[in-house]
Amino acid sequence: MSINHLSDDQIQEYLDGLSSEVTHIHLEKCAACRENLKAYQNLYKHLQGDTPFELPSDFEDKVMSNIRGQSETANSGLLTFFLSLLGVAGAFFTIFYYYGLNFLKAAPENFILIVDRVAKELNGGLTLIVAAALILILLGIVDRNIARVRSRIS
Amino acid sequence: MIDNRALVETILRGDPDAFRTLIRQHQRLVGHIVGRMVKNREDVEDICQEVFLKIYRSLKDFKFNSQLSTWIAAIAFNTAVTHMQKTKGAEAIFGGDDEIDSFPAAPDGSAPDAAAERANISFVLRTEIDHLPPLYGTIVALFHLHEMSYQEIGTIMKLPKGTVKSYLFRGRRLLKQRLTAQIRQEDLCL
Repeated sequence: MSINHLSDDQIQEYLDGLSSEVTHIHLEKCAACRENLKAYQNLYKHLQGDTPFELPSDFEDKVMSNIRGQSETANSGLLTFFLSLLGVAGAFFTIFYYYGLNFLKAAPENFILIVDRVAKELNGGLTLIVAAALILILLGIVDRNIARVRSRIS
Repeated sequence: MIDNRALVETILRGDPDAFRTLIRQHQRLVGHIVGRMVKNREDVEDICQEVFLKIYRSLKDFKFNSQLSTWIAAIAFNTAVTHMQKTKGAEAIFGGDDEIDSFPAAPDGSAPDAAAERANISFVLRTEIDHLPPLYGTIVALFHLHEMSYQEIGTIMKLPKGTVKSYLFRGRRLLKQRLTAQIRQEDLCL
């Protein structure tokens, strides 16, 4: 008389707590299935003790350092935006201060003349200071962008 | 131990130490998922860092509709899948749905001390798991190392509960067959 042994799935269901009473009764009677059950029990034991991949002990510090780096980059982006806005506002203020609304009427062909007049005005004290401030802001923006590229590379 | 809801609220108030606690509590889970999905060890740590950065950025969107660990595991799984799709394609993740039985076993070790190492069941097992399709190895890790239910694993991987169970059973059956082939039956039954 042939015996229908438990399938591997039935044995796994038994070990996962999903099996019926019938499986339990069969295991009590069948030595071959108990042998297969033992092999699976051993497999389960080793799977529970497995260590697939352990992260290094300084992993937490690395993540926190990355987060700080990203926050600084975001803040630097905001500062750059603010400084750019300030620079543009400063430039417009200087032009309007010296040329008033006539500047808006200037046609593109008069652009060179305007540049020429601005260059002459640079001899004045206030204009020189504003121009120097704009150059410093520009240098600051360039410096921050270089630092950002460096930090990405590193 | 600090409650997860209180922990998340403290992180959102800007306390960096609270986020360190979250990393400590979940780095093993994230490392196991990414480590099982991505075979290139050099990439695993970088991907794990990416996972925690994503968690930090999107924690404000976590509404406690699931366990925090399930949500974190899903981010880890999706990040690993995205990395694999970029490098190897979707086939590498599943190993071909019906082809697991013919998936190649680990090659025999040929180094002088490899024979001694192979006597170690854990070593053989780990080697064989590494040769399973990544999805199977990950399901085995989540079920046996993190005691997650089929349902939780299904939520993480966006798979039906029945599919998770099927993959888990097939993966374990294959591992048992390969262990039995390499190690004496009496050793396996110790």
